[in-house]
Amino acid sequence: MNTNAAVDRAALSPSGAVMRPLVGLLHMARRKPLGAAGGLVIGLMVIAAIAAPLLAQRDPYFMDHSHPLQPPGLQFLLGTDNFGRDMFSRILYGARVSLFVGLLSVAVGSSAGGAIGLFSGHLGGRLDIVVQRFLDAMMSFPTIVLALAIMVGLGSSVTNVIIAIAIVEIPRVARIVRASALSVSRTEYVEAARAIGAPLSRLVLVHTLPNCVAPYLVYASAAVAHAMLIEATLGFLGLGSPPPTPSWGAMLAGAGGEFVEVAPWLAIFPGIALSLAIFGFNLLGDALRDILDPRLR
Amino acid sequence: MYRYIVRRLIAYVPVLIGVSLLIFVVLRVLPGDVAMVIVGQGGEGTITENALESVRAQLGLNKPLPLQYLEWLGRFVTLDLGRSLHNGEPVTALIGRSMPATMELTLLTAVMSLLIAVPLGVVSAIRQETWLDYTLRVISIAGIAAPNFWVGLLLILGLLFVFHWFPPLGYSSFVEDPASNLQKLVWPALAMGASFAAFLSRMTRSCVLEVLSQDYIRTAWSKGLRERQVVFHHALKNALLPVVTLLGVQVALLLGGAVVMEKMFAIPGLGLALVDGIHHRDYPVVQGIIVLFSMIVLTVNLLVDLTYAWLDPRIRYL
Amino acid sequence: MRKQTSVQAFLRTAPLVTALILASCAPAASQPPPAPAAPVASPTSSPPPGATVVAPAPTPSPAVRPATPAAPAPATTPRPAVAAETPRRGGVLRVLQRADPPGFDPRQQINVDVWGVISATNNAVLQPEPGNATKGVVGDLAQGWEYSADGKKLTIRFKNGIKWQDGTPFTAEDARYSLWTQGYPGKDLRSPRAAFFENVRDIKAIDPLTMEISFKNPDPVFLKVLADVRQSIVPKHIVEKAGDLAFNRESRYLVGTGPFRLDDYKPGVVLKLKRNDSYFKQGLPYLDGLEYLVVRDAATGFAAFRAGRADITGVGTGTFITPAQKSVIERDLKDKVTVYNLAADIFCAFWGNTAVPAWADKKVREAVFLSVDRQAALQNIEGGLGAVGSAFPPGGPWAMPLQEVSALPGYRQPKDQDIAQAKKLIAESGQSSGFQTEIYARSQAGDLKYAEFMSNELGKIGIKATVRPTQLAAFDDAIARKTHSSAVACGGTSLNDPVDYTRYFVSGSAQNYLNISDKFLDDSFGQINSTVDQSKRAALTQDVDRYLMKNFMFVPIAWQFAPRASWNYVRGWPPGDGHYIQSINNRYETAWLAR
Repeated sequence: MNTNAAVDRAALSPSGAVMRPLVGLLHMARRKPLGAAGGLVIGLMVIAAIAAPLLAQRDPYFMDHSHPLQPPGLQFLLGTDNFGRDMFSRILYGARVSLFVGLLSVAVGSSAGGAIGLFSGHLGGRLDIVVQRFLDAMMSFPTIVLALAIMVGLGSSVTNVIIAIAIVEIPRVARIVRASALSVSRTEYVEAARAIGAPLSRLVLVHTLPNCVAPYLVYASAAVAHAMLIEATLGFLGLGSPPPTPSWGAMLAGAGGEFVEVAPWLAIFPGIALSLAIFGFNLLGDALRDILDPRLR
Repeated sequence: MYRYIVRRLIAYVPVLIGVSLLIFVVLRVLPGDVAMVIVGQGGEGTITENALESVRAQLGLNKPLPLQYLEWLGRFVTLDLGRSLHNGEPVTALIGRSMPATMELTLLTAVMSLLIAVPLGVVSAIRQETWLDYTLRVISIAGIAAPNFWVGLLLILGLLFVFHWFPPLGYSSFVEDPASNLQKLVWPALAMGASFAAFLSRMTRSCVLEVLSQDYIRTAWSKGLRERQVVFHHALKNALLPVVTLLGVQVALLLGGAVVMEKMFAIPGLGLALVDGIHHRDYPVVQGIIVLFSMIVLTVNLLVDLTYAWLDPRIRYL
Repeated sequence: MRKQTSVQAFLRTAPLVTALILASCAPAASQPPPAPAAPVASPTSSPPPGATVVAPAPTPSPAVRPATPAAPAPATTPRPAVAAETPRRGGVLRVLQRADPPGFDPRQQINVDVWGVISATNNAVLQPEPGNATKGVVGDLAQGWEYSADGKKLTIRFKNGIKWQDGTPFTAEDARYSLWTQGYPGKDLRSPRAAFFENVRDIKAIDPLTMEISFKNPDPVFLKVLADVRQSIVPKHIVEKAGDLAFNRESRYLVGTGPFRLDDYKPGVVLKLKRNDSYFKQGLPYLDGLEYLVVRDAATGFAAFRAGRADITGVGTGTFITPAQKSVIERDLKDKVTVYNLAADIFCAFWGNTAVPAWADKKVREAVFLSVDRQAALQNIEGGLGAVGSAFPPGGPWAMPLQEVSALPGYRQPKDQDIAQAKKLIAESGQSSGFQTEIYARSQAGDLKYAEFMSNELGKIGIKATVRPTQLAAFDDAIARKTHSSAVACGGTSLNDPVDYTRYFVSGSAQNYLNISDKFLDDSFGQINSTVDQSKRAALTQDVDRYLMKNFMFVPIAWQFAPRASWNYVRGWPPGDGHYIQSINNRYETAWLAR
């Protein structure tokens, strides 16, 4: 007896409206186990971020002056840092910071970059060339250097970190979207649409945009991972979110570097959390690419 | 061909100017007066207007901004990048003595990574969808996921707790003492190499995969060639071309990694000079180094494009 | 067959990589950190005679909170000196250096990285008295000195037979030139310490061995200015013709009268000094040379020190022994390394800008004053390496007596009552509904930690505080413009004299964090800076201290130590009494190596 058949029958039943998408997901998960694993990791992270107040028994900002540098144990699951703050809570709340910064910065950067790429690719010509040069200039920087320079210009705050990372993302998104836009704008049906006088906005939104979605999604998940990495690196260099924000990168810098011998747990756990998060998004991006890219199927 | 080269070079210049202008603006818009850093010295010195004025005058900070930029640009063209505001050292001298460390670190990282990554990527591609492929892919994603500064920390922790030994940090010249030099650089190279190798192996894998699905490879198989011949003689060369194309990206990645690694392992290279310059608001140093980084990446890209154009006459796009 | 060849291909590359890694690791891995040879002369391997030792603190145990503020002087008396050992000649002392000195002209430099070098290559007119660094001075180049009766003239007599390291004889003109160009630099020099010379009217070299300084008003502090490495004397005949020396690091311009002279300098790596055989202090130095190892990163430097690659740790923020490092030393190097707790005269405090209505309200200030857990800050941030005190260095002549300090509100343990009282005060003051403040702090590690700490303490009484890390230049700028709502700043005196505190409390000063204009403070400091009688000055500063604390003007959180560590085989160092001043003025002329 075939479990697939059983599952399919369940999917066709009245409650199939709920089951069908779930079944679809399960099928995909079996085909792409790595992607599923990535999705799982991300799911856990989202749960951790949302449910942090429930899961964490202690306030991540509260300094317990009588218990600094406690090793992991029954009282403090992952130990405490030099200020006596509970590391378990801080790491959970750190998920909020990472997700917030990662998702928002990619969203902002994508909107701006996407808009630039769409219009530049679609219009072509001189404008496109100039924009290309400018994007090339931006992309010639190592990302962390660009982010550093911007952070120094803007000053340390979470908002500024998001802006800095968004700016770093702009040329990359623009390039992807532009590539799609370029190829689409040369197709016959778009030519035809132009010939019958369709306005630019319609051309862009109805024709070009949908074709950019697939490559963009693949890029976006990697971009979120990258954004989280930049945020952590900025935190590590001391130019990220200001203290006492529970940023994983800052945790690695502050406590990890100085106390690496007396309190190794301070260096280990935030790093694991950060790596897992980046890992998850990368896996997801991989799976998406394998699914969405027709050539590699 | 010459026209192509000239066209590319002409395109190169405005990008550089754009970069320098961008950095100049970003830095100068900042609040904060370097004279105050010098006189106030982090709280230990008494700041008086006299002292401030004398420092400002000596450093030429009172002129209007556009004038300062133009002066900088003019001097840049003659390869004079100004002097550090913090200790007066000519920026070109600072770059000169910091460059070897950074270059060596990035080179060592690149070589170590290539030696590990390319074979792994090839194996992973040839054995696609097997347990070997999955394992290698997971490892490579883990390698990308783990931030290089964390890997560095773990490396230090590992050495400390397993061998009770703190690695020698800092830098000594290769020319004078190669053993000590390698001992010091191998650790940051390893830490940085982990993620770089992961990146390279993934790229190699997808490029090899792409090539292996081509028709001419299928022809080679059907001719009965052995795997070694197919992979090494036919596929690999073509597969590695995109890897070379993305050399610019790789250089940018390496330089970025160097910034963090140098700070962590106290290597007196360009990255550390950059971070220090940022903290001290040392505009000439920061500008000089960032423009240099940019030049390096753009130059590599330019050389790759030119090589392509030379190899494949069809490519003459702008 | 397919499997074989690809695996073979992989295996072919693997040995190469492994070989490369092993080749570079192998020599290193086989060297354990060299243990220093056990000192021959002393059976109990005691620290150098005259050194003060801190009783090893309990291993990072969190709950240790002394009930009273600890005095900065170390708790134990020095161990009895082993019968006077004869100093051994020879050897090279290796000291850590946190960064390259930007230049070698002491008149124009402010960086602590300069003083390590200059203190070894140059002399000053006077030097801090060994064993009494904060109060006494002894002659260095000078043999004797007298003030005139009205305190407006200071005559200095120099020793005979002093030579510059290039053979030229030293004269009083060199001293006059060095000091005068610092006080009145003209437009070619920059002089960050011109403020020290504001009271100086004229300096004259009366004869080759006598110098006369005249002041505008009776001078209370200039002896300390003269006894400071930052006022080291430079050779006029070389410096006057040298042009812009601000950032010059050539050895031909670094010529002093001191026990060592510059031998070799590799920027970023090492600075080597060799013995000056014609040093005017007979028989000194004992060492053959000094090596300053430039190690930028604190952790790296400490690792090098532990591995025996350096003999003494460095000076300057970022090189001080941290609590973590101290516990590592106690755990692993108990009898081989000594940590010297040097009082640094640096305090970290919370300042509220009184232009903000809340901070102008005495009740709010009192609430904050009460709620801060100073002992916790001392323990958790400084690891106990410091002291709790008032507005002036605790235990010193300028501050109110320690018993008074420990009786101040907010200084006792446990804190529950204080915090309850503080909350009540906040409620009374009408600020309880969501008062917020942004704490400006320099983005350097120490200041930021205190700011982070303060945000927690303020949170305990309902004040929402965020931290704003600000780059050094931007910070000073913000304070000068008074755009800050509140700030956490560490600062202090480099002269151990109240004249250095004037800038924090006097109207119109760029570093007046409180943004106050207070007649009592202005008048008091005016008097302090012009009274010659030191005991009268002390009484005045104690009154200022009481005024500041009783009105809760600002909140001193902790006074820092500047601990340095040295391997026990280094003798003749420090000749000190546990003060940082001695540390940066150390010429290492009496240092020797017992191995």
